[in-house]
Parts: sequence; C-alpha cells; structure tokens
Amino acid sequence: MRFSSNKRNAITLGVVALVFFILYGVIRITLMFVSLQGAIGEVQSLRAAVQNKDLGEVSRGLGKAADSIAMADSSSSDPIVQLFGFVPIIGGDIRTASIVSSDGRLVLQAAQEVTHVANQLVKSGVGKKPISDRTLISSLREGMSALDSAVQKLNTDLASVDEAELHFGLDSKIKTAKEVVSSLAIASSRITPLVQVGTTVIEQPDRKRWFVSIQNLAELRGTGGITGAYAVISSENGKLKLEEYGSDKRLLKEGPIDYKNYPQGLRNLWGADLSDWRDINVSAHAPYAAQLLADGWQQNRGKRVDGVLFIGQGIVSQLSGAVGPIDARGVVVDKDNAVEFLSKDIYARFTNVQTKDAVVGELASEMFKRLIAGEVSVSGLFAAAANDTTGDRILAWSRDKSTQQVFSKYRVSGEISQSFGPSVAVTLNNAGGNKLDAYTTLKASYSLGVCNVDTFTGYQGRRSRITLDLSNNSPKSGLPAYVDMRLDTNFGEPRPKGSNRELMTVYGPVGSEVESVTIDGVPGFTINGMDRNRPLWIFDLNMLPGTTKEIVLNLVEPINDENDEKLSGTPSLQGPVMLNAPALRSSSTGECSLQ
Amino acid sequence: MKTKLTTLAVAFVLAAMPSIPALAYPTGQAPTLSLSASGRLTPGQSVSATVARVKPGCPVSISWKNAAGISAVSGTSDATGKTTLSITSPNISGTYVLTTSAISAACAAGPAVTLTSSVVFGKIATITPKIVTSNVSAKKKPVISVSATVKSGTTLVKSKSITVDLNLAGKKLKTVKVKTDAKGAFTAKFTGITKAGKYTAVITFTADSIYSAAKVTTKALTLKK
Repeated sequence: MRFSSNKRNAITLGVVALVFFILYGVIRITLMFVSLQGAIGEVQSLRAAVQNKDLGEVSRGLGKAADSIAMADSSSSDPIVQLFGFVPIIGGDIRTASIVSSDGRLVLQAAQEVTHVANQLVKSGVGKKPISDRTLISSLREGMSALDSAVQKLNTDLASVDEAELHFGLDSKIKTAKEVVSSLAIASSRITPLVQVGTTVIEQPDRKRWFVSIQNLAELRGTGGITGAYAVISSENGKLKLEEYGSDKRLLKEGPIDYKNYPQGLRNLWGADLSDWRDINVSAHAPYAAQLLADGWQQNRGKRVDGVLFIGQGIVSQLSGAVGPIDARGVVVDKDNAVEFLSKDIYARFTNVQTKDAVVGELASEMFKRLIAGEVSVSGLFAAAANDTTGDRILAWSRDKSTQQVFSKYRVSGEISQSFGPSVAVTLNNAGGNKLDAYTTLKASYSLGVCNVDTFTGYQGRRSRITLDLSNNSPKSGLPAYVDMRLDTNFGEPRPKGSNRELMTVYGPVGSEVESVTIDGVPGFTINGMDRNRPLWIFDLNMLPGTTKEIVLNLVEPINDENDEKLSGTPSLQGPVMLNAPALRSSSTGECSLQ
Repeated sequence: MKTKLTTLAVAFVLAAMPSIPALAYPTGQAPTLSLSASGRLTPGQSVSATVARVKPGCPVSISWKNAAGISAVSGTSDATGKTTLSITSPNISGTYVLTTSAISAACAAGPAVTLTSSVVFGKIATITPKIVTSNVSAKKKPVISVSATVKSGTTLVKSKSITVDLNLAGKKLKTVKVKTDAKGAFTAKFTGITKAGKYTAVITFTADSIYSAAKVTTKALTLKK
C-alpha cells in the first residue's frame, strides 16, 4: 500500500506532533514530581528550625517549599498533564500528585504567612508590651483561618485517593500522608477557633472585661455544660490580666438574674431557669446565655462585662497541653488526663463537694495565670488538640457589635440563625441535676427528601427527616452519689441508679412544620415553641441506664423564602457541645425547583 | 411543750427559707405549655394544649388572650403533672396568644408563673408586587400600575379582595380596591398623577378563615417633573 506524498506528510506531521505531545507531557510530569520532591525535602529540612523554635527560619523554609510546590502546581494545572491523568495505570498517580501539588501549595503558602506573622508578633513582644501594629493580630487570625481551610481541603481530597491505584512507591507515601494530614486537620480544626477568639480578645484597643464560663460537660447545657468555675479577665491593647476566678458556688451567692427583658418565646420555654447561674445557658442560642451572664454580673457586681467565652473540658485539655501539667492537692492534671479527671475521676477522688469545687477553682486559676503570663507551648497545644476527642468547642460573645460580627464570621458565636434555609440545631440539657452526661452519646442525622410538597402555612416545600439516637451509657451501680443523683421533681417515673432526665431541644428550619414525631416508634409528648423565628421541639426524656431512645421528626420545610426566592445550599446539622463528640450526618436527594 | 416545738419548727423553716437555692436548678423544672399540633392549625378547629410539670391535683385553665368570644377551659393536673385541655381556636387566621391561669408557687414547685404561647392559625400568602408607569414624566399624565400574583405555596389565591394604596413620599395619595383573578393575579391602575417624586404602593389584604393578613410595599418608582 502506497500513500500519496500529501498523506505521507500529514501522517509524518501527526506522528511528530504526537511525539512532541508525549515528550512535553513527560517533561511537565517529571518537573511536577521533581518539584514536589523538592518541596517535601524543604519541609523535612524544617525540623531543626521547628525544634529550635526559630519562627523566622521556619517561615523562610516554608517560603522555599511553597516556591517548589508552586512549580509542581503549575505543571499539574497544565491541560496536557491533566489529560495524562486519564492514561491507564499511571493516571491515578498523576491525579494524586496533582491534588498534593495544588492543595499542598495552598497549605504551604498559608503556613508561611502564619509563621511570618507569628514571628513578627513575637519580635514585637506581644502579651508583654502594648500592641504597636494591630493589623498583625488580624493577619494572624486570617492566616490561621486560611491555613485551616487549606488543610481541611487537602484532608478531604486526600481521603478520596485510593492508594491501591498508585504505583512507584507513591501508595505507601500517600498512606502516611493521609494519616499525618488527618491528625493535622483535627488539630487545626480545634486550634483555629482558639486563635480566632484569642486574637479577637487581644486586639481590643480599649479595656475590656471578659467572663470565661468554664463549663462542666458532664452536666449538659445549651452552650455545653453547667458553669462549674469561672474566670474574669481584662484585656487592654494586647495585655491580659486575671481579675478574678471562682466556682459556681460563688456565682450563686451573687443572687438571681433579672431576665424579664428577654424575648417572650425564650421566657415561655425556660422560665425561671434564666435566673439561675447554673441554668442560664439552657438555650441553644449562645448570645442569650452570654448576655444573661453579663447582665447578672452587672446587676450584682455593678461591673460591666464586655464579652463572654464558653469553654469545657475539651478546651481545658487543649490549654493543659499549652500550659503544661498542673498539680492540685496531689493530683497532676495534664493534657492526657484533663478530660477524664474533670468529668469523672474528680468525683471519686474528692467526695466532699466543697473540696471538689476548690480543686476546680485552683486548677482554673493556675491555668489562666500561666496563659496570661505567656507560659505556653505551641507544640503542647498542637499535640493536645490533635488528641482531643471530645465534642467541645469554644463559643464567644461580645457586647460590641463589630467584634460580635467577627465571632459570627468565624462561626464561634454559637448563634441560632434566623434566616431561611435547611439548617437544624440540636442541644441537650441535663434536667436530672447530676453529672451523668459523661456517659451520654448522640447519633443524629438530617436528610432532605422529596420535593413538590407545600407547607401547610403556604411555602413551597420538601419533606425532611431528623433522626436522633440518644443513649445513656452510665453503669447501673458504682458511681459516686454526687454523679448519679436526681434533683428533679419526681412525677412517678422509674428512677433506678444511673437514670437521668434529658431535655433535648431541636431547632427546625425557619418556616418548617412537623408532620409527625415519634419516640421509639410511637407518638410522643413534645414541648413546642418558637424561638429566633424558628420552630423548636423539646423532648423531655427519662433515660434509664444502658438504654437508647430514638426520636424521629418528619418535617415539611420551605424551599422558598418570604420573598419567594429559592433557597439553596447543603443541609446543615449543628450538634450539641458535649463531652462525647456526637456522630452527625446530613444528606440530600438534591435541589428542589420552584413551581 | 407541743406549741413551743411547733413554734420552733416554724421559726426554723422561716430561718432556712432564704438559704433555699433558686428553684430553677436543675433545668426544666418550671411548668410548660405546649400545643399538640403547633404550626398546622386551621382557624375554628379545636386544639389540644398540655400544661406539664405542675404538681398533681392543681387547677389549670387556658384561654385565648387576644380573641374575643372564646371562654376559658379548665382542668386539674394528673399524677404525671400534666393537664391536657381542648380549646376552640379563633375563627380568623392570624397570631393569637394562648395563656394559662396563674399557676401558684406551690403548684409550680418554683416561682408562680403564667404561661403564654404565641400560636399562628391559617396560611400565609406570598405577594411579590411590581410597580410600573406608562411614562416617567409627571407632566405626561402617567398611569401607574401595580400588579402581583398572590400565592400560598403552589396554590393561587383566587377571588381575594385586595387594597392597594399609592403613596407619594410616604403619604397616602390614592386607594384602589381590586380582586385577584383565576390565576391569583391582580392589577391596580392609578390615573390622574401630576406630581413628580417617589411613589410606592402598599398592598394589603385582611385576614379571613383561610389566610392571615398580609401587607407588602413595592419598591419606589420615581417620576420626574
């Protein structure tokens, strides 16, 4: 078979183009891998600088690594390289290298920014001298937030990589990377809110007074737990001062709080609970509790509180990692035992309630003294954060609107949104007056279902379902009396040792309606109301030890708002702040169209 | 002797009273008022309300605070602390407040309380109005038209009387009454407009046995001289 000269030329040209295409691709892919290797080498060489706590050197090293990975990212973004991602056998390796390059670039760039700013802050004597450059503080907050987003993205993208499809030793490296990035993601997700709140407190130019509620998550409340101890801290232009600390007994002596000016819906639901220091944080909307605490302080002490922070055992364990072990009356509390000690062991070790309260107060006092003196270890904080398995999270409120907007932006304000949208919030309140919530667990799911169903009141809507499995895993005997007592009024229900009473509050989406509610498969009694423009249901549950109650709410919820605008977005399920991290899951069958 | 002991006991109780902690602890001790079908209520139907956590044998009654002609219903709390009562709801859609009688401190096991609950009856209608003019110059005898479709979910609200007020700089200028057609739509036309300025229209309909009252204001329309 003979081809004409034109055809021969065309075939030759095609073959040459193909060879160039392959050569170009191979060169770019090689460059990508070499640059990536270079970036990994740069990061590994940072160990010495990290050990020497030389932030300047760490920042410079991260800059070099970021430059190397930027070259890898440039290659991975090349459309020809991306085409090679579809080549059999090696396609998976190229796609994985591409993920590591592009996500890793964001991580390294953000990390460089954070260390650079941190270095400048250390040089400026933050915490010891007045702040000379306030923008450094906000840069640290924004850099840390960007770093967290980048780390979470890398973690999610890496999790989607199947190591079985990788070659050339990449499989074992990615397996290790997955583990490292996973713990990095956990630590980052826990430390970032602390940095967001901490920097916001520090950067206040004027003197501000902060009430820190140290919650006991073994007795649950809407914002986490009953206030077991507290600290009052003042901040002024970068300097912090511990004004006062104490236990809940001292707060109780202050007397009740006047709550008559709070919303009727809130008062209808919780009544006199809002007047008691031990119960004022019953609502899921943290700003209510914070304002009540601030009001209570003002009413009783005549002193203005400008902001409130809520922390529980999880945050305390992280801070323990930062400040190191603390000895209180013969017990050494550190990052490894803080949660277990403060939620369970303390009651067995100190059966006298006054002594127990004193121990909590002494621990809190020493911890805040060290924090304020700047006696902190970043690596200790990091290690403690990575190992914290609780469902604790810091919540913050400020009387100042612009500061509150910062807390809100970073989702540390604990606000119940009043906006339309597929959003559900669940909280728990211990109504037995005991410390049994160290044994309480929750599994919750929220799923958006079929479309084309109107709500009764007149929104276009869709069906949705909330399923909640609440378990009381407490033992039936052997607990100290203080842990499993029942202080609530007895209406004749069975109350064996280890039994508890929980109030589970579920906030539905704005405009949603419940079609049916079941508790363990049968219609059950609920307290219903409205708060923050949202319908809510409170389940009053008598929980016997070793049992689980399943609550199912079938809802119809709007897909348009009051202006007939279509609602979009993925379903959001906010679980309680609790000692045992709740297992949360949300899903959707897809977006609904307006008729 | 017996009298002395009684006096001592009373004195002791009275002396101890101030040290009794606030009655809020633990959470959820206060009585609660709850409706069985919150959010899906039709005007005129009978609704079931439960007052819970009241000491057994205590009198409890409920009534509508802002609806005329509906008398209170009463009952007594049972052994579980609950009183479930059936009460007829108001005939016109809207928001009403269900209220209990005062529950004494002795029955509430805490401070005396009067519970209230805000309840919405009926459906809401969505109006998304448009305001347009035949001419932007006030000198050229413009006709201002206000139109909208009234819907409740995917249901078109037909034959519903609507009042449309035309405002100039926030002051009412003219009023037109219209009815929605078979498609839930209406158009109100305003003639005789001579003044330049910012015009808005307020669309209102009154509550009936199905729909709650509604009031919507259009965006501003500016006419030049």
